[in-house]
Amino acid sequence: MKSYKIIDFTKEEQDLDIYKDVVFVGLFVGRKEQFIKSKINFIVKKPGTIAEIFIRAILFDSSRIKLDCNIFVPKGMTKTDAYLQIRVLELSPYAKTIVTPALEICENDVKCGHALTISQPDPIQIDYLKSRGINQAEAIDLISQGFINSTIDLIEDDKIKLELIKKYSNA
Amino acid sequence: MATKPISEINTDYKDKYGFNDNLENVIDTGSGLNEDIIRKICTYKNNDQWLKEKRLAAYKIFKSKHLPLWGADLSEIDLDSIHYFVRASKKQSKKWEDVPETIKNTFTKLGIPQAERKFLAGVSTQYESEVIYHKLKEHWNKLGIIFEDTDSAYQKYPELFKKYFGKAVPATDNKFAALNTAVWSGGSFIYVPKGVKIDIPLQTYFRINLKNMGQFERTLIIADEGSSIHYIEGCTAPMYSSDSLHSAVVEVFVEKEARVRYTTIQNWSTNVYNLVTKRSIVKENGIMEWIDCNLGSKITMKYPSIYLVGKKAHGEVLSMALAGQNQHLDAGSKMVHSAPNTSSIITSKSICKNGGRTSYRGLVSILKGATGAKSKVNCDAMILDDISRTDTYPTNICDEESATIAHEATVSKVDEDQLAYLMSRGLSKEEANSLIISGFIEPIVKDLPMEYAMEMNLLIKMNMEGSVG
Repeated sequence: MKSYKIIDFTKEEQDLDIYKDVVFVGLFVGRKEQFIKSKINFIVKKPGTIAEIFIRAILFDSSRIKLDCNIFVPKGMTKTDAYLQIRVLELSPYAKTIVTPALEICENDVKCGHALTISQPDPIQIDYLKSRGINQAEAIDLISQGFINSTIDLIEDDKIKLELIKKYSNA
Repeated sequence: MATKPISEINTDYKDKYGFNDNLENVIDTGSGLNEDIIRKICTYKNNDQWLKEKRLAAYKIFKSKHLPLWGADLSEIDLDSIHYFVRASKKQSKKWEDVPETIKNTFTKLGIPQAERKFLAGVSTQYESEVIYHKLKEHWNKLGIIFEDTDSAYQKYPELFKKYFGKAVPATDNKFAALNTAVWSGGSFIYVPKGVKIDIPLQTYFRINLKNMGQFERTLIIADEGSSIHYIEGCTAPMYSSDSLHSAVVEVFVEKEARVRYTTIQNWSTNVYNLVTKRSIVKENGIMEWIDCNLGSKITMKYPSIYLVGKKAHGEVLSMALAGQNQHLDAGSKMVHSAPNTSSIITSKSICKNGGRTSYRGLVSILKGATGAKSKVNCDAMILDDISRTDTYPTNICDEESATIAHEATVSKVDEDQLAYLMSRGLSKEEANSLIISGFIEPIVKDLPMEYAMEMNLLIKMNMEGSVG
């Protein structure tokens, strides 16, 4: 049976133990002068752990983020399959991102990886929306909303999903 | 495919590279370092006041800085036991015949003259602290290319030297850059005039012979507008029970529309601390490529850097590390974008086995104003047994809204499906392993000149056979 747990990602530094099959979804929304600082150490605690970690950040105004995410696979944690994906969307020329996605692997029978992208809204998407009569600001709003919703969609539980959509709609 | 299993990393190292020559050193400042030794080095080298002041000021910086608090463990390094300046040969020789017999034997064993005759444009070999044999083919001389050891270049072209020395790597950069600035000796100085393209690589070979020896070469490469050059360096040392130190500084200046490719094949013995600072500054439309192959050394901390300061400048780093028993190779790259439409690619491949440790440590920094900058980093690691370790520490800083950074990393062992498929086609397990690993490092090896690529493939193959699965 699936279980869900809300984790406070706003702590400056924390260790998270991971067992068996887990999916982590993290969303950071930076506004105004906000400086988000988060260091998360994912520690594999059981052999055969399958973990998917999705972290998204969207930065408005002059917000900044400093994010350190590490997957640590200690010796003996064979058959671990862990993957971390971080996406950062910068929506303002004053936003700043510092991200370090790290891996520390002490076991050979594992599959681990991470991927990171830091980018601005796709100009082709903006051009398309503008060609449909939407102005630049509205187009960026739509894209950012899509970015947030696609993150929330990664959560399977409808109740939690609805709560989050309510909280972040018109973010 | 005839193969011979070799289970230990670099097992043939001792026979092939690990010999040492019993030759009398003409000058040896002894172990340890103080201001008097630096003054002595200046006297031996006939350094003028300008350089003497630089060296003494750098020594003060060296004393004031502490060892890096991050990266590999340097706590065992004994800087007081290192010999900071040793001269093995009285004079620098232009002709092979003039090189002392014992030193000549070393290089004959390593195939230097043969390599030079056959294909290299110029070859410079550094034995202990100084370059002892150095020749540039006449054809390149006529084109105005300067290929000198750094000491001679300072005597012959002081203005050019002063213009670039310490501009990419100042003494204040880090403890080992300060140490190098204080005691540097030898290295290569290359100047390629405007529009001159050298299509054959230039090569230098570095060797440590004495135990507790420090090698501190300083290399400066200046590629003027529209020029192009490929430089290759190789390094080995014999194995002693006590440790040696190699702390080089390499500065590369890529002017407008120039192109520089710098290849390193590092195969120090496993008692050498390899702590090197390499940095290049690339101007408009220039291209800089570092190809960095690390096979040897006890500890390597090396992060070739590229500062993209001109519009549309491009930087590329191909980094490979292969760590065996008692080795920690902490390699990577730094890419700093400070101009519009600059682009960079970092590809890192690392393999660890027999308890070795590889780390990728990288930085991509996109500064404000580097509009439309793009960077892509790809690091793959292969971990071949359960006593080895691999880490990835990539830092990405983006201060420009219109820039794009993409980073990807994977860690895995040899894929069992691939292994099973190759074995079903009649290959032995060792041959299959070897083939998979050759494929893994192929992106790096394909960019080496053919003879080096063949040597590298052979080396990897020899190191790997019998050790996987």
